[in-house]
Amino acid sequence: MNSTATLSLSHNPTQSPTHGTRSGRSTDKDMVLIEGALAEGLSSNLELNGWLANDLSAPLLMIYDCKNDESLASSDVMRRVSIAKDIVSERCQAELAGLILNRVPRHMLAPISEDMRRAAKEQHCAFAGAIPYDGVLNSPRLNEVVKSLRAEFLFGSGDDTDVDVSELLVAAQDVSHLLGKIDALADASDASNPPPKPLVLTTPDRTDILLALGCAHATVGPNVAGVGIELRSDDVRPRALTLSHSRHTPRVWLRSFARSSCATLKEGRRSIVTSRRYSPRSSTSFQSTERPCPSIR
Amino acid sequence: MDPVHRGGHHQPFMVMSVVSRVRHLVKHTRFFSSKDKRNGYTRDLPAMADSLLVCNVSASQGTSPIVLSLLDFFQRAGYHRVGYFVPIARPKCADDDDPSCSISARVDLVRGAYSLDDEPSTMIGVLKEKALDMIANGERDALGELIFQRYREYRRAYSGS
Repeated sequence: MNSTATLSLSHNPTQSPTHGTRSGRSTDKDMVLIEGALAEGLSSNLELNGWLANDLSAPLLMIYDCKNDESLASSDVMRRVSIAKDIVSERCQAELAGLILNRVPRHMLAPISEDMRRAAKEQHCAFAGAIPYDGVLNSPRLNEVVKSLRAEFLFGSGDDTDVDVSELLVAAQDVSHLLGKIDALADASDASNPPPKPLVLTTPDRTDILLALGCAHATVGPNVAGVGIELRSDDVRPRALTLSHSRHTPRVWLRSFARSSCATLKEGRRSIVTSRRYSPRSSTSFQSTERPCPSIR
Repeated sequence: MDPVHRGGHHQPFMVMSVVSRVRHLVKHTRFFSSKDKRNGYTRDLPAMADSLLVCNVSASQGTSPIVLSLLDFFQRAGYHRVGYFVPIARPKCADDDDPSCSISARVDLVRGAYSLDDEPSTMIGVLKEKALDMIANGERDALGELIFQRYREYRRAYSGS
């Protein structure tokens, strides 16, 4: 059955024999946070959530995702929020708790917040505030990458993998090009954020890259989150980093890192974060998506 | 690992600043039962809201930091028994033979981050495919009732825990 063509979200409470039994709230939990559904294929996801809020007698907190859109205008946001508010409170008769703007471009935070506060007041909608965009929140951590890809540590300590991976760098050219790219990343980064820490992907025969990154990381050179090596079963493990095996050694891994998963990473597809389960039998085996894969340089 | 306070320098404080205002909203959100409304009047109950549904109205993902921050905030703000419920959950994988696959990855994340000892299977209403089927078959009321029952069971299952 075509689920999108035959959706019927129109809701007549008088036809429901069950609503009368919902006599009130239970108080066994002090507070339950309910996460709204994001059901792809539904024409009216918001309406569904409005009904859920009504059914569960939970006030609905609206999150509006500005997606770091530089062309964002507060009037556009308020117009869309107003429509959403009408759907939730009028059509679904759900209680509205308020509104949060998420991922607002950082330099627009103050004016957008001020405009929204004023507009929300006119609309009788409580405005909780705006959260600026921060790329760090979108980046996976090294331990999440390791877990998702079922990678294996070759060198370095597993204790300090709680580090953000700002992006992926595929090291295929000469080492000077790679260092130049890492320097360029640092130069281009926002001073208000931590310096970028890319995850460098390379092949086991690139001893020059492994040595350069190992030495650079141990001294004052560019800081990388780790080095991923794509190893096939017949590949010989690289020995380069045994020369500088210290706590400053970049985290180097991977053994069961099949070509298919590497290709997925290189394509920049959504893939990495915690909820993935990688099956070596399939090249399209990342099942669900939460956050985008870091950009590929 | 504390997913709320990862990374940036001042971002956690900005998130928490916004989230702290949510508590104010919750505190001043009066509870109206849907039954009362449908009879043509509304009636304030004395208690403040004891649940909150977080919904991304722009139909995109990316609410995790806010959800995690809210949970963190409610725990710090004196709510001793904070729960997390996903009415329509997306299974984290598609392996029918693996029971853990039917649990939402988000539930796993929240349980891990906040050491919730709630049974993961009780923290979800229905799986997305089932919900879509029921909606497509015109069973939205039944879906709502099913989710409500699951929600009520979840709240009651952990009384005193």
